[in-house]
Amino acid sequence: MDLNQLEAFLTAQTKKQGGITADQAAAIAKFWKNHRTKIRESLINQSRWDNTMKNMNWRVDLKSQSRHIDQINTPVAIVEMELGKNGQESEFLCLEFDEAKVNQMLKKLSEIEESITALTQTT
Amino acid sequence: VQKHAVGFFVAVVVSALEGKDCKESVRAIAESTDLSEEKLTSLISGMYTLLREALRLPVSTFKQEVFKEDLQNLRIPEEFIMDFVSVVFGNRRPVVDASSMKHGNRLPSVNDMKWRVDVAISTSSLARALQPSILMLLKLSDGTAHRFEVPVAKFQELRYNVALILKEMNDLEKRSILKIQD
Repeated sequence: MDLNQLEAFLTAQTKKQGGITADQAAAIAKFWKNHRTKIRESLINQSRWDNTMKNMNWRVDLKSQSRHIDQINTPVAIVEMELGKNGQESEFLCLEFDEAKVNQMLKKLSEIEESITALTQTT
Repeated sequence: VQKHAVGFFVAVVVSALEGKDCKESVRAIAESTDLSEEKLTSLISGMYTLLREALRLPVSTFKQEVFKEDLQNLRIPEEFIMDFVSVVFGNRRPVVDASSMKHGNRLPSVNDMKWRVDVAISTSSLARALQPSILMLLKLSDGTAHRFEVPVAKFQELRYNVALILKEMNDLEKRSILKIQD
């Protein structure tokens, strides 16, 4: 509940017989104000049971030589993604991207971003 | 050794360098010539090693005359030199280079990415969640697929980092160190 709803709820509780005092109401209001986001986040996490992306690390390397090629000299990105379920050991996914692939990836992510923005604006 | 036979040997060695299976072609060579197996083996593996080393060098700095001279020093008969030169400097070179890039040692890469934006409306822990999250499916070049959920905050982090990677790669390419060639 938002702060207005909270205030209405607490006022109702103080007026009820055997309800709470104004001091208690203030304490509860303060607690809720401080911890609302954290509590909500934790509750949302409780309904997430698929693998989630927990973290990512990356590094940009310069490929210089290989057995068959003396001078390659192209940059390559190594990306490590930590995927795991709550309370279970994570799995690490190691991927390689050349510049074109990074570009493709960024394009897709922009599409997602647009989609999220559209969703959050209408609600 | 016949002139046309050497041309055929070179063609087989090149397809071997491109990573193709050449068992059949080598058998055909063995049947078509009267060379002993021992001689044939050293001939083909010698050509393979020679061309592999020559193809390692970038075309931009490797001079055709130098290669010809090297071949002469190796006492390759004059009439066969052009067969080798045309592999290294001919118009099939980009194909050979592309295939050695492909066969290099590498980590899996992303072949396809599918996504879906979900909004959880109501859950067992929260009556009105209304929280968007992203479901992603990555199909990799090693044939595996990974499906995972990305919370919005993590998604922003992912997007920022991917953009940063791209910028770093662009910066790296601009740096003059890459342009140094011997």
